[in-house]
Amino acid sequence: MSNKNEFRGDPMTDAELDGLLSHASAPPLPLEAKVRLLARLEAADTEGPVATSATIVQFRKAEPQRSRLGWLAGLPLAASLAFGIYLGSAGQDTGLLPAAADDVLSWSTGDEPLTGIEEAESLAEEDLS
Amino acid sequence: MLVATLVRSDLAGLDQVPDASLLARSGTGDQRAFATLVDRHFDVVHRVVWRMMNGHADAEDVAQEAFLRLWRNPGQVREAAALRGWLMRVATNMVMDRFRAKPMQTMDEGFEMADGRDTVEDEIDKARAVATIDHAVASLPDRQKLALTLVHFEHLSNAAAADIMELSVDALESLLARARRHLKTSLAPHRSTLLATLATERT
Repeated sequence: MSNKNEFRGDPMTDAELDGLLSHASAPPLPLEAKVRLLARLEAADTEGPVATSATIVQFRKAEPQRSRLGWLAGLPLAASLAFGIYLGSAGQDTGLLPAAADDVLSWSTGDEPLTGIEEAESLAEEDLS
Repeated sequence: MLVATLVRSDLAGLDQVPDASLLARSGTGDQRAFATLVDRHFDVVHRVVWRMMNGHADAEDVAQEAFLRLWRNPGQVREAAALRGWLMRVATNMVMDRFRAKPMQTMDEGFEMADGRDTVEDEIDKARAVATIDHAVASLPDRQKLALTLVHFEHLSNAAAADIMELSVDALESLLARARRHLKTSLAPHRSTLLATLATERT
C-alpha cells in the first residue's frame, strides 16, 4: 500500500526547493503594531507589574502637601504692617487708639495728656526738678 | 509617553547604542530605551511567530507578550547581547504552549490542494502555487518549522539558530535536513506545476 504523499518522479533538487520557498508568503507586519504594543505596555504599567521573585515593586514616596492658607493668613498682617509704615512715614497722627485708651494714658501722666516726644522730654525734666 | 516616543520617532541618538545598554536603562524605567528595543526587534520576532502560527491573527498578540514579559522584568535576560535570540525563544515557546493547548489551524485550511493528477496545470495561478508552498511549510512539525524559519527565512547562521532553539548545531542541522526532506516530499506531486507557474511569474 502506497502513501498518498509518495510521488515517483524526478526528485526535487535543493536549488528547486530554495526557489519555491522564496515564493512563500511573507508575513505582513500589522500596521501600527509597535504603537499598539507600547500602548499595551503603558496600560500594564498603570496596572502595576506582576510580582515575581526578581521583581521589586517601587512605591512612590508621599510628597508633603503644602497648604496655601498660610499665605492667605499672612496677607492681612502684611497689609497692616505696610499701612502702619505708610502712616508713620507720612507723620500723621495715628489716632488709632480708642478714646478709652487716651483716658488711661491721661490718668497715668496726670493732667497733661501725653501726645508726643516733646511732652515726654518736658515731663522728664519735671521729674528731675 | 512610550507611544509618544515612538510616534514622534524620538529615538535619535539611541540607534547605535547596544542592546545591553538599552536593556540596563530599561531596567531603571527608561521608556525611551525600551521603545528603541521594540523598534529594533519587534518586526523579526513577529515574523518568526507569524510563520510558527501559520499566519494566525494571534501572532501579533504573542509577539507582544514576549516584549511585555521583557518590560516587566528585564533582569531575566542573562545575556543581554543576545536579546534578539531571547525574545525569539520566549515568543516561540509561547507558540508551542498554544499549540499544545489548542492546535492551530493552518493558513489555508479549506484550500483544495492540487493532487497532481488532474489538470491543475491550466488552472493554477500564482496565488494557488504560493498557497501550496505555504501549506507545505505549515504542515511541518513545529521544531522543523522553527529551524527552517530561523535559517531559511530569517537568514540566521546555524549556530545562532541552534542557540535560540537551545540545541547543538548538529541537532539543528538534522532538523533542517528533515524539514527539507519533508518539504520535498510534500511538494513533489506539484513540482512541475509549481516550477512552471512560478517560473512564468518571474518572467
